[in-house]
Amino acid sequence: MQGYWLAIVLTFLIAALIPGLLIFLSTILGPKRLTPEKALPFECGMDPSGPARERFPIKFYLVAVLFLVFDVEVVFFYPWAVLYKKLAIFGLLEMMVFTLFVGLALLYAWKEGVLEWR
Amino acid sequence: MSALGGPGELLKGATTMDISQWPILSMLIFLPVAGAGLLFLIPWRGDFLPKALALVVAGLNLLLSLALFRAFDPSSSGMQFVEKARWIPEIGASYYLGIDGISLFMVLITTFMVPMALLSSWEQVERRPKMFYGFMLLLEAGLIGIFLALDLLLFYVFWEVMLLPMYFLIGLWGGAERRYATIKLIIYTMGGSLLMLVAILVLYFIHQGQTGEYTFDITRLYGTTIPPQALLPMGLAFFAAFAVKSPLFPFHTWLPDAHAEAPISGAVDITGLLIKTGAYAFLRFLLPLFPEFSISYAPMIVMLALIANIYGAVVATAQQDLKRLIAYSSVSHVGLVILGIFVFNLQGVEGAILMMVSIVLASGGLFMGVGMLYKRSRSKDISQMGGVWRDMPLLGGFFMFFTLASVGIPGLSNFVGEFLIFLGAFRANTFYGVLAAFVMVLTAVYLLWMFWRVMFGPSPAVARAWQDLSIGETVTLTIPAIVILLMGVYPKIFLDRIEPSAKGLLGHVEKKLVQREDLRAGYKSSTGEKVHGHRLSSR
Amino acid sequence: MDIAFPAVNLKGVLPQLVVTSFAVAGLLVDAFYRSTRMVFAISLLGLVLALLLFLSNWGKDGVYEGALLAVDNYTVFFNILFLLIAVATMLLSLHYIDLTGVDSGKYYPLILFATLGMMLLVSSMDLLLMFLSIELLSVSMYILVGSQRERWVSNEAAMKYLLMGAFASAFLLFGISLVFGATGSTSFIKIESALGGLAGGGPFLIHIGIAMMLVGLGFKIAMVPFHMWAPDVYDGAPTPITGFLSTGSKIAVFALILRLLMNPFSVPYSQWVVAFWVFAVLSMTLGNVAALLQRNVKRMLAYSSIAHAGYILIAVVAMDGRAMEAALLYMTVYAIMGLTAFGCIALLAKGEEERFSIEDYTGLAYNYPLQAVVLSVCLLSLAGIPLTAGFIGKFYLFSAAVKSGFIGLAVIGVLNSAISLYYYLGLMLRMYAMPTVAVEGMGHPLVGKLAVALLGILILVLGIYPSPLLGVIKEAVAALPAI
Repeated sequence: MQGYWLAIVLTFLIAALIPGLLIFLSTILGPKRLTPEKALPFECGMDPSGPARERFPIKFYLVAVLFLVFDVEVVFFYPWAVLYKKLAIFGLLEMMVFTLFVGLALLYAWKEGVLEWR
Repeated sequence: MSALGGPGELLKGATTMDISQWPILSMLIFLPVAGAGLLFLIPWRGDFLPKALALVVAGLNLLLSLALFRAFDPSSSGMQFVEKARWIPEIGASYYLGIDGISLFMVLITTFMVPMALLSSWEQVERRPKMFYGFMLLLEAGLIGIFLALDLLLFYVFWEVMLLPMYFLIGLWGGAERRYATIKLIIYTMGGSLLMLVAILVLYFIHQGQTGEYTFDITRLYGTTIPPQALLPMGLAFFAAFAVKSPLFPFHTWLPDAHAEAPISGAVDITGLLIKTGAYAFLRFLLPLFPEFSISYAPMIVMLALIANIYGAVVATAQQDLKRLIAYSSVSHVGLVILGIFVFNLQGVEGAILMMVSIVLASGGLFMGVGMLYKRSRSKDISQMGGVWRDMPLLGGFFMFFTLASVGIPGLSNFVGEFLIFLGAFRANTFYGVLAAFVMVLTAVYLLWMFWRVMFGPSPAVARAWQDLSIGETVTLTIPAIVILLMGVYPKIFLDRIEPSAKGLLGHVEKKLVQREDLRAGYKSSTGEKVHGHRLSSR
Repeated sequence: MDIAFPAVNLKGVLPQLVVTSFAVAGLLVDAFYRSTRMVFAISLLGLVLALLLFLSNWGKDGVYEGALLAVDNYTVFFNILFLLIAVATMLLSLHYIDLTGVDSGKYYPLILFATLGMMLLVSSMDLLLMFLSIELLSVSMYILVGSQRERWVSNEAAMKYLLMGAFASAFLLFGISLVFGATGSTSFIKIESALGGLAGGGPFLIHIGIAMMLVGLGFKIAMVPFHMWAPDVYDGAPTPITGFLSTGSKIAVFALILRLLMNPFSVPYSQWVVAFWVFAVLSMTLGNVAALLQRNVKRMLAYSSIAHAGYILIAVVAMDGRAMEAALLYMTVYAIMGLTAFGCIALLAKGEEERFSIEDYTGLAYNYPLQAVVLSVCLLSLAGIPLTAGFIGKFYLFSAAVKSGFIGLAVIGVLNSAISLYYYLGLMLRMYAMPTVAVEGMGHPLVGKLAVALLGILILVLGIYPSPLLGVIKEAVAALPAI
């Protein structure tokens, strides 16, 4: 029982150690050219600070919403996959109906032009 | 039915005998409705045809009601021509109509005055006469419905619905301040009767608790025993609704406004017909449903009636506006009617009913006269008149006749009613009688003074060329004058038919009170009031 | 671990499936063919088909899908009502939305989705399904409210509704979780049995949970003090949608509240009567008094709809068999009145512009006789004048209150009715007054006119002869557990 826990602790330790070591090594070994942009905190394609009433393209949001929808829907596949055998044909049918609706939604989004980067 | 003690008494003579086998009461209600429907729905060209149609419908209704009068059995105190049908069985509401000596004359005077009002406004409605006439017919239907309904819910429906045509008539064809007047009318009258709706519901459930039967049939509800703690609020709710419409003294303020702003023919109906429903409802509903309330609070109600009587007369004296003056004289007269009802004797009640009918005729006539004068002078201000007699002696003559009728000169209709009410009042309490008789003098003062100022007073220095009455106008004024004379000279036709029903009503009230006294006696020696309630109603 | 397969009974939920499929089909048709007429036809067909299926469900009781959904006369009654409301909304929108620049391809399917939300809401027997249906309903409504993209009031209304609605949903969800915490289940049946044995109205936690849920649900029915959004949203939304929102959405949530108080929360409810009494009085009074002051017809009707929510709450306070009948009757009647009122306003628009201000209504009766007559009947009914459906509804409500001994509440109710007369009749009289400026007449489509005319006739018929409807409602109420 104790050995069981020890293994977990060891895993965590090693998992922390290796990336830490790598980062440490790269800071020592790599070349450094600091620019103001590089000093900024990272945020996807935007200035992290500025006036509040900033204009931004709406297409980011469309893609983001679409991503969220499909991401969450895909989550449903996991429990189904785990219980695949027990659910048997009923589960399969349910999942097919579900997939059909996701597919229809994708078709609709596609046809409405959400996927085009205009 | 006759097993129930109280209600059986009133209905003992209930007969379903139809002389003509017609549902004559329904026809009285629905004929004007159908006429109004035709007026509204058909896109008429020109004004004459719709006017004529309305007049024909109103005239037919008058004939129908005269046929009813002939077929009416004067010896019976019960409901006649009874019609009953299921309406909303889920809640025990029925379509239940009937007529007795009390409602007979209410119906007759309605069917009589509506054609008069139509005639007198023949030339005067310039805007959309078709709609005006349609609303007049609807008003007639609503009023007749009130007088005929024997189901409390049905009564309530007519009671409320009748206000709508009134609202339109004043609101669309009224004077400059009509908006204010209509809103006041509606808020007062509907606010009052909505409280009555709650009281109706309470009564309905009390009755259900005592007999296990859901019904709005008033002849059944007459037998209900109201628990003492509910008596005052319920009685007050009914009283307030009726007092507002009557209108009794503290609730009367809508009347002068509504009156002053009403179109001429609309005003005839307000004075006579609308307010008569309040007094009628006292007789039909408040007295038999809540006899204990009526008797024990009668002194206060009589006080209010006397105040109304005096107050109306005094205020009328001070009026410059002819229409307002007549409105206040109505307030005063209604006080007298209510005095007659709440002295609880045969003379008082009979006098009240006669008085109601004759007020309609006398002030209706006065009003039509004012309307004809207004058509020429475009003014209701007494100071603008003066010397009218010189220009229009014919109108002056009629005006004098109706003024004298209102004052209560012997030989004309008001006298009989007033005399009976005084008799009743003296029998009940000398003080009431003395006070009421004193107001007679006041009435004579303001009416005769008004007449003098209009007819003979100094006329303004403006040249005027007023035509005297046309033939149509003369006819319009002659008919009510004849009826007034008839009523004054030979009131027996009326009294014969009123008496059995009035007796029945008073007998019922008395009987119920006696029963209540028995109950009281039993109550003291026993527990649980409810048990006795059951015993009473199943006896 | 064994998984109990739910007894699949698609027959019970077939109408819901039909509505779903036709809504999706409508969206796809719009995407591929861009044909408004086809979308309209498909959506209408879906609603009618579902309606027919429901009619065949009448009288067959059952609880389906592992007690997620109930199919009994109560739910069938409301489902039919929602479908009829949706059909009426569609017919009234037909012309209006073309005029006012709404993307109609999405408009009709969204009405179907909102209807689906209502249908599932009244049928739900589980707090989670209930929450999902409310969200489906709300999200569709948010979009519908904002569907006039060119009008900033419409946008503002949608934004306001969305933000406040999300806030209310959070409350609802928190309440659901507390109830779950207190009883260990989200199923109505299990909550009921968990609460049944407890004395004193259940644990304290459940009361906090109910309070939270009440905030969320109270928002949806625009009950005072959660009513702030209603005037702005009703004003800004496209007029047929205002009618849809004020009838369908409100009735669905009311039907749910009634079921909740009947079924799982009947034990703790006894401690909530006073609260509902207060809510009823506040809603009636504030709604009516605020409506008196409005100069904008849509805002006036919005406040009056708050007042009508207060009237329905009278039944929630009285809460016995008669009160349930009264509630169902009043909701049905209110649905007809709300649709008629807003439908008439939509049909009184002059071109692209609507008539909002009360002054605009002066003398309209002479150019738009049909709309004016129907609107008058409807206003009379809203005011509760006899011979209209509104009177019968109010009569039932007040009689339920009197029967349960809440005479004070009935008196406050009738006094409020008297107040409301002022603005209803004022508007009505204005329509018949002589116009001061010439009113230009404008043709309006026959379909919409026919729809409002039918609704107006229905108001009168139900007002004069309500017995058939009362019979149906009796059967619907009989499906609920006895109180």
